[in-house]
Amino acid sequence: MITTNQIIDIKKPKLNADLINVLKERFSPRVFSSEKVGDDDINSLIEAARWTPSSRNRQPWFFYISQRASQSFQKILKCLSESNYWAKNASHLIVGCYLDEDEKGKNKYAQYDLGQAVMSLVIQTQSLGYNAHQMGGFNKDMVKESLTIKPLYYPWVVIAIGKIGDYSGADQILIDKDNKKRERKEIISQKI
Amino acid sequence: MNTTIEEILKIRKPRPDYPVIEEIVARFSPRHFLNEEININDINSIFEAARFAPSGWNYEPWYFYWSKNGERSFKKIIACLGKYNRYAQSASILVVGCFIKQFKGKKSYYRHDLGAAVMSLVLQAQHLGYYSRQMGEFNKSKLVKMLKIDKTHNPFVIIAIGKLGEYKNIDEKLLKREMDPRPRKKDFVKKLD
Repeated sequence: MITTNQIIDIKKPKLNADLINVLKERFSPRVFSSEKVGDDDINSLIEAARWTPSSRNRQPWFFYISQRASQSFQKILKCLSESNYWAKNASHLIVGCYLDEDEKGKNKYAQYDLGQAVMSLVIQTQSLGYNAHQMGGFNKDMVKESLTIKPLYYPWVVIAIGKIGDYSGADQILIDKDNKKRERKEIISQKI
Repeated sequence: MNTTIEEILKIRKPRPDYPVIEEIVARFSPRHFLNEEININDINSIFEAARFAPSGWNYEPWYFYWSKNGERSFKKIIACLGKYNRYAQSASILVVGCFIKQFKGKKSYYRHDLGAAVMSLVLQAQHLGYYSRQMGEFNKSKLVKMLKIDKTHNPFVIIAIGKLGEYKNIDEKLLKREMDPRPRKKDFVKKLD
């Protein structure tokens, strides 16, 4: 049997240089507890996304927030790939969209800027004692239709938010997936 | 005109409606830096933050080239920037952020993931007291050629990093741009039933 603390331990990054605590603690679990994330905390993590920098300050992002047991939550769950079934236990699911076009025309930095905004949101989430797990595996057309998302908004990522759950009672499939060290490339930069 | 850092901060610093971490409250993207050397431990921390960013299927589709102010490569990067971005010559380091194209079937998250990695890097830098400003407008083919960028690396962003500059002796035109507030949208979120 494995405990949640053992998972947290194995997920600690093997660092080559020091990091702020929130980045040291961050990882994307597949086991969430039933605890609800409060409205104030949801407001904070959305606010973190709001202050992200973006190309020409276009802020090409939009977020749909859904809480567990709501109708929209069920709709989003239906759109997820089978391997993301664990997301049903998350407190909230947030659909992050990029805006491909605005009054300035096409935006080639839309996906990139959404990535930044989501990372701000994820870091804020972690700092509040919750975890976040981003998913790209979902049926985008289906999400767009079932949530009646506006035409120029592209659902690009679904983020599961919540408190980390109890691994001792979790599905073996999830334990096997999460009971692994973080793998990272050693070299991602060079001085020129 | 004798503008102080305090005056700039008053205009440019975020005014969040809900509490957010100090790095986000402090962050904005200046065009004016102190040309002061950043110690190597801090530089290592900044890239370490990017290294541990999450990515789709853990592809880690990012790579960074960086150069110190004063080096030849620094001048080369400056030469690839639009006139509008030449303020970057006061930065302590310039970082060229590249994505690596990788697909899972038809799916691709390399732009999104590079954004996540850069945001981690930017917030780590902010924590250490360094400001950053990202630039998307530069001559990519010239940059690839001049810096001999690897074929698999696609330069997508140049990030100027350094301590906030002294605003007292700043060029008037640049100052005018620095005094421009960066308002944020309110209509970017919907709570669903």
